[in-house]
Amino acid sequence: MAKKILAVDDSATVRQMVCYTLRGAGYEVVEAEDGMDALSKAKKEQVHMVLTDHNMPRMDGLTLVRHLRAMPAYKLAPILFLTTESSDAIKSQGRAAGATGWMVKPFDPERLLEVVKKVMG
Amino acid sequence: MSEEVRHESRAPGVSEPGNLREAFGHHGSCLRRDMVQLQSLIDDAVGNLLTHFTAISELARARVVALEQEAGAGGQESDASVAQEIVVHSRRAVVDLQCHDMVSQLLGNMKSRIDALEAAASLASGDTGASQQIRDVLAQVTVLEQRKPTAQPVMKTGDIDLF
Repeated sequence: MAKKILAVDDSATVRQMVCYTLRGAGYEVVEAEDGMDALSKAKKEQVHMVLTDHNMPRMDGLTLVRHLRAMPAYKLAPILFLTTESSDAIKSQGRAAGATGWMVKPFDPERLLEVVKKVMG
Repeated sequence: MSEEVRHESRAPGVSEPGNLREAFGHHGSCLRRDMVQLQSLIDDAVGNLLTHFTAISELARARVVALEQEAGAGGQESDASVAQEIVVHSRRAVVDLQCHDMVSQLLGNMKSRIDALEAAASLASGDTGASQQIRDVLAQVTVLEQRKPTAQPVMKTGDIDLF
């Protein structure tokens, strides 16, 4: 059974590129357009991993991670940031919120797959 | 006469007292309109590129599998080389198409800064006690500039940190 990944980004282009990469490697992908949408979808169906942007309308990535980490089902699930933000200060906030890792856009498909495989074990 | 020159000639003279707000408003509107046009152009172009990329990559994926099988079954070495080239070009296209997100974020940040500059100009043409308010608004512009969400000057893939 394919592992399910929740891809969260307000850019439809980035979501499409993430889906192209992950589905091509055999993963099932659930899409969400911001943190609020992601939280609602994560509550409805259990996913194995979350890949999220930071700057999004309604709910940003940091807030989403804090909410997810407070839910027993996502306490240990891998959560990766995929964002244009690259400052050490914001990365530290991501780490403190409970993120598993931080990837700066633009992403390379092969490197994304390597990281996903690594964090999903 | 170019479009820019015609706009310039219609802009109010900033040397005239009280016209600062009008001049800022005029140029702010022009910049905002050009940014909307830029966003529209890139939305259209990337939307079309995505459609073509998806179609081509679906065909290419099937071809890559076939070429790899042929090469593995004692076929020509050039088959494996073609398959590898298709994979490399597809990867690069995935990276470059992400420019859409980065450009959109930069345009959003620029729009917020123009809004704040217009607010400062509006205060500047008001009463004389507005100087502290102007400084406050300009400080907001500086914060927005520092919070610029995209610093990448080229489409080079980003760093990865696992915590």
